[in-house]
Amino acid sequence: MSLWNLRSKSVLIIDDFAQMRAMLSSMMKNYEPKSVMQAANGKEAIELMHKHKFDLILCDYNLGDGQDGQQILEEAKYQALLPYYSLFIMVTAENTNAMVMGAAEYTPDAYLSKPINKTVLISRLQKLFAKKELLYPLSEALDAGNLNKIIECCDVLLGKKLKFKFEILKVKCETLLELERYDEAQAICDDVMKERDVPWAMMIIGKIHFYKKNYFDAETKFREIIDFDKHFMPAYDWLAKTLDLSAASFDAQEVLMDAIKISPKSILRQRSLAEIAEKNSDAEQVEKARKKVIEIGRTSCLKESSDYTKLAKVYLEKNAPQKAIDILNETSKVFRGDEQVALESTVEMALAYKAMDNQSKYKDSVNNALKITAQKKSLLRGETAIDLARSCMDLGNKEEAQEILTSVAKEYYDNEGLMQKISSLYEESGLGAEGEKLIADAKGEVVKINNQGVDLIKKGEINEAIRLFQVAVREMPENATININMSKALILNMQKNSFNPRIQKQVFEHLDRVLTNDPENATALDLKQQCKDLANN
Amino acid sequence: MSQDDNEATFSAIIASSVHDMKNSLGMLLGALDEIMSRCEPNQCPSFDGFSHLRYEGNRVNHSLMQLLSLYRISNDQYSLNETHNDVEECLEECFLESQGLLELKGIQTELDCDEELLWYFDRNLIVGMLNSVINNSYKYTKSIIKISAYVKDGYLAISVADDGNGYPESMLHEANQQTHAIDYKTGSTGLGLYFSSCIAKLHEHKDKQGYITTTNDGISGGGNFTIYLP
Repeated sequence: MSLWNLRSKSVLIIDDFAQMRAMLSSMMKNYEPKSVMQAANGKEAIELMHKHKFDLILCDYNLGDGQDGQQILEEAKYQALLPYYSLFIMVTAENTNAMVMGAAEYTPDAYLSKPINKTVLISRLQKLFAKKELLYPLSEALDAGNLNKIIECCDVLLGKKLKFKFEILKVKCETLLELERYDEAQAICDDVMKERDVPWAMMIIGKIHFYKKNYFDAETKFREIIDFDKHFMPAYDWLAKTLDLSAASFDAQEVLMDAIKISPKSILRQRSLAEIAEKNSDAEQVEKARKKVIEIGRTSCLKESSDYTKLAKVYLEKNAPQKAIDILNETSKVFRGDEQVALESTVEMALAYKAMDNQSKYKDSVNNALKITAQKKSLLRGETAIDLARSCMDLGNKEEAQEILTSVAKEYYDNEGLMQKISSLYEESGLGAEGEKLIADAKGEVVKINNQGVDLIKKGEINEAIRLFQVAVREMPENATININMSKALILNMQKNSFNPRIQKQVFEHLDRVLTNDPENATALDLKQQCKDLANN
Repeated sequence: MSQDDNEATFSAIIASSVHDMKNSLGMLLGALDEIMSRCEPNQCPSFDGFSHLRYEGNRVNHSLMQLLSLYRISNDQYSLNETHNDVEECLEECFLESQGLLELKGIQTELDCDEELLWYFDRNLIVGMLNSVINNSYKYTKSIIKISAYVKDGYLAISVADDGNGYPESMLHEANQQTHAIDYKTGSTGLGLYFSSCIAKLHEHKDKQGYITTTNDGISGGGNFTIYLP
């Protein structure tokens, strides 16, 4: 019937009311979309997005009890289910952004307010798809994460005098930040702000200060944004991060608590709050935030088992073992089939039964944990391992404890916190000297492997070195030194031969393991940069 | 429960039922559009009746939207979603929204806007507000509604003018009378103006704040509503 059509487009309609979905679907019928699928809630929507790539998603913001539209958008982006070429339109019942959507980290391509007028809907779709088409090369570059290409595409588009030039400037600035080309990003923002203060540009400037480690200026900027628009949530998150790094973790906690009052539904923010409260030993706040994380996470892919086990730890410290047991039982249910989680919660369960003085269940739990460990040694890591060893020691099974602790010491010998815990465990049992010896031996063994590898690299036998480190990494996946030296060897290999994205990915995996435990590790950060530079040359 | 708590609960109840009403109204208007799309204006004896229904439905919708927004604003729950917008596109959308109605009554529309014009404001909020202004003009105009947008003294001015009989004396607000409070007690148009003025005021830039004027210098002495956004 009309020249313009949706024939090449697959559509997903998300709304909790079947009538509403039917109405939207019938509005588009005449334009013959390739396919129209429907979802009544976030879970169904995410499942469909896993199976199909949609060109157009019309999502109602208010979906009743489960996830809201913003959470679906965030989850889809987070799981990379939403390519940049697809169009996400949020349908809101009110003309107001009551839930501070506009200032969220991820924003939809457009908002449409109910009641939806067919003429307006179609006209909007025409314009938005035309825009997406213009942006197609940029979307491809964004989806591929090719930073230099993104900048190139932005520059081409900016030369075209388009009406949405500010959106492109924003993308360009964010990419420049990733490329650490701070001065160029700053120049763009200064130019934009000549006319007026725009929160996104202020945000970029704050981040530039942050990355340049000018924490005081960063703090000032982020506070300025909050004064300017107190609903601009990313400013709170970055302010808290900045304060935490400026050794002001109590202020950081306060900032996050303010943020949560305004926008309580972000799982990542609640988790940051829990973590900072842990650091501040504010048990009450840890408990509150962890509970909230679990509550929001129930319907989300962003849930993590540590949200549960850490809450259980809080209860154990509060001497409320029954509550710990309840939450651990829930953990096993929610993460059924995950051996790692099963082991972790069994180990914590043992501690809870011990606190309750239930000897038989205490022993049962420890034995169960040992059974799981016997089948798959690699499941036992870090603190869980030490907790299990402590229980073994306590139950008089010194040999088992020793074996567990030896492998922990090998894997984490450069992690002072954990080594401290091992030492104090031995001291508690009056075996301080044994503990010191165990740590020293483990360290010696790792150093030996490590030196062998470094020797091989020096001799130019890089492939031999990689092979040696590979074996070591398998045995001690979390060991920082081994992961770093493995990365060095892999980078040398690429420098000698040629850049290889598969190897680059491997390097990032090794370095990320180090950075997860120690985000400020300078060597790892430096190597990561070297590896990025290799890709861009 | 204290008096304050009671009031807070009551406001929340009102807000949530308004929300509900808006959803139902959305379905109702959607169904009505569906029916209207199936009947020919010249052949269906009920077509005019349907159109009138649609007009009244729109009015209820605008009132509910205003009510909810004012509730959010007064509870400090409102967050502006300001972005740079293509002004012409926004204004075209306003006419599209009421296209059916305007055509039916044979009302001409005119749009005067520089196609390059970009301005920084909350799109949904401003478009929604302009829609209710147009809806109001529709009631009073004789033959034409004209929207114009231009930049004046650092403000974006958007005017909706018609060739009706103009605003009554009590509803006229000149620019220099900005301090003169807009009263919401003078019936539905009064509420509409009060709402528009709140929306305008939410838009701030440097030391400037948005405002509205209502004058009778529209087409042939008709009403002229103008919102100024810094």
